[in-house]
Amino acid sequence: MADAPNQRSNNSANIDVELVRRVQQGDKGAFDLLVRKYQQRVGKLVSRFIADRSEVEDVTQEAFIKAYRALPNFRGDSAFYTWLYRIATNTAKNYLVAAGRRPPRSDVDITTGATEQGFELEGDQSPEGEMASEEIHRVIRQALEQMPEELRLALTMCEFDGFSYDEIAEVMECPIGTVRSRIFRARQSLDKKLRPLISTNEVEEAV
Amino acid sequence: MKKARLEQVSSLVDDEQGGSGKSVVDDLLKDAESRDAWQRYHELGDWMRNMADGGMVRVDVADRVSAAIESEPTLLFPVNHRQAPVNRPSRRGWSQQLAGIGIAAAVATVTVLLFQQQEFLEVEPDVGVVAINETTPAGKEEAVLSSASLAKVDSSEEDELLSGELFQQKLDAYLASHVKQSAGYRAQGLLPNIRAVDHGGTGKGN
Repeated sequence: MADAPNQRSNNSANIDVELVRRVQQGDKGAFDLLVRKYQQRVGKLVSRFIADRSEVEDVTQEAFIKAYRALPNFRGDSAFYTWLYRIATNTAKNYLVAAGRRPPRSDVDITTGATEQGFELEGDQSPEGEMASEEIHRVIRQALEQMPEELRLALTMCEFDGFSYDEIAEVMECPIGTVRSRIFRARQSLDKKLRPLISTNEVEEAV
Repeated sequence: MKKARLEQVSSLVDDEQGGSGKSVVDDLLKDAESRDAWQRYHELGDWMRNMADGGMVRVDVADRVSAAIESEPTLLFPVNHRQAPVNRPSRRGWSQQLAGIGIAAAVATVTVLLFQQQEFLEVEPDVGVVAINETTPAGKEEAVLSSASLAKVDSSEEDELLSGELFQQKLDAYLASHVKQSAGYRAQGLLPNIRAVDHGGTGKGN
């Protein structure tokens, strides 16, 4: 399955532009929102190059810091995430070279993680990593199955198919406000079940 | 209230807030719970979309990056996005122009002062070195020496300095001396783009 950006690119353009604009005006908090938004996707991209989990985190962090420093050069000619992924790719390659390891010969497709030679690079194949991934996916499947159909349909059309709220409203023959509410409730339901598995620092601190 | 706020965050995750969602972004920046929801809703979507290939590695570097960029200089520069609104005749334009003029004036002042000091050096090298290399405020002795040496530069010599080949030589000597001294004073880059230009038609420089 293709990765997120090709499905979300149209939807995410406006908010990314707004956040980048704020960062460029000196708002570091806006950059934090970009990090929170893209860290999983950048982490996944980096994991195509580097198997070790802690190294993936380090390189992901480095990629974001480099992106922050390079933001003065970002003119919006391309979407923010493609620009960011390019930086992440180069950071991962440079990391491998510096560590005396050989980076892949061909580039990684930033949208699918596949190389030009038609194979995917190694991700986190550690037993712990696989178990954690499987558990999260199992909980998501279970939560989606147990969810009322109208919520599941709205969320999956949004996340899997990349439909806009307008399009979903048309398909589901309901007002756009209803779509907004259904997607939110579906997320809340999923979030509640996944919280023990993917809790963030702020939640941990707040609890 | 909280539910409505989180629903807005959910819409913003899909960029369906209308406009650019500026007010929701403001809330996000202020409210930790909204920020957390923003991160989690994005992550939920990432996990859902990666169910088929299963190759996702969970990372959480937001706090680390945030701490790291805290020590970075704040970015402040004109916005030039193609997608961003173009018509923005604001105070930023004026402030930038004023800042630019200020910087140019400061550089010009430093240049003139250094150049004058360089002339002084050429006339009385020994005394001049003492004056230039003295980083602490000059004492009475240096002050006396400086005024004495300055007095030796009479008006006819000044005229010569400002004209023709002698001017060019002085300028070249000044630039060479500046590069040497700026290295010693960690002031590299003070005049990074100076080129010696010959206005007298001697063919030298440029």
